[in-house]
Amino acid sequence: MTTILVVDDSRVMRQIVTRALRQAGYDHVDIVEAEDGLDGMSKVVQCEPDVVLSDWNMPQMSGLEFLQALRSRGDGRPFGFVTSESSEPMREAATQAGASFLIGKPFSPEDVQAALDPVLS
Amino acid sequence: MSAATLDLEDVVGAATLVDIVADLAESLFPGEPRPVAVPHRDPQEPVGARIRITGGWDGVVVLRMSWTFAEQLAHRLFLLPDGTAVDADLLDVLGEVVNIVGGNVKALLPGDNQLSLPHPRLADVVPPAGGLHATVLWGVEPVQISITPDPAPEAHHHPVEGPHR
Repeated sequence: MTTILVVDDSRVMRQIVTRALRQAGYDHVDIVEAEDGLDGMSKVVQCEPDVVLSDWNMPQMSGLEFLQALRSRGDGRPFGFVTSESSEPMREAATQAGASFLIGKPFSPEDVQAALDPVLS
Repeated sequence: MSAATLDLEDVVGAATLVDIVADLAESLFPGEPRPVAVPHRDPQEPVGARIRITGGWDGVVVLRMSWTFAEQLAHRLFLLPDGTAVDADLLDVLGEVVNIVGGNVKALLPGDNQLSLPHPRLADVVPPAGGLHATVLWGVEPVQISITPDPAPEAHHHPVEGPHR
């Protein structure tokens, strides 16, 4: 069973991402939620997700800090940002930190599918 | 470039603010009519949220909408039965909307900028004077977005406040 970890401090955004995943055809995957990077770290250990979808701007531990923490532990699992901050410098920072993709908010199910299909195929 | 000297209409523009909200609405509720720009109109019993942008440009993005519309959005986005949304649901929705608008605005501004966490309130959030303002009609509800430069970003502290009713 494929597992996707959705990390966002906004509960409504976690719902929107989950709905978009279902609409994008990921209706048989296990979706696990986390509220921020710290929570995300523990959910990674608990659930071993196949891919992480994370917000950037979060309390406690930002999405970028979360990704850097994972990579510093040698964790290379696919990681993508779902964020309102999708400027070119942010995309470069995300790529440099080891992100596989960045989905800008607002997004459509097609955007989610286009980002996820290559990393989950 | 300082906040005071940046021409917001030139760099961002009211039409772009309208587009950001319309794109957001379209992504949340596909197939529904896109919000359109309307002349300034205050929401009834307003609630709102603010988010700060600091760095190359210092300022604040403010969102205002009616309590009723925030409640409607919460019910629709959380798939809740009518009348069951709680304050935390409304605050979450307000915070996320201003976060998305703020992030999109930040991407248009020059320099290296940071976005604060959103500060939603179940009370009116009055934008500072000046800056750029747009009102859209989302369904039948006016939603206001403002971007205002802030020459003294460190002088502010805006705690989240509780409901006013």
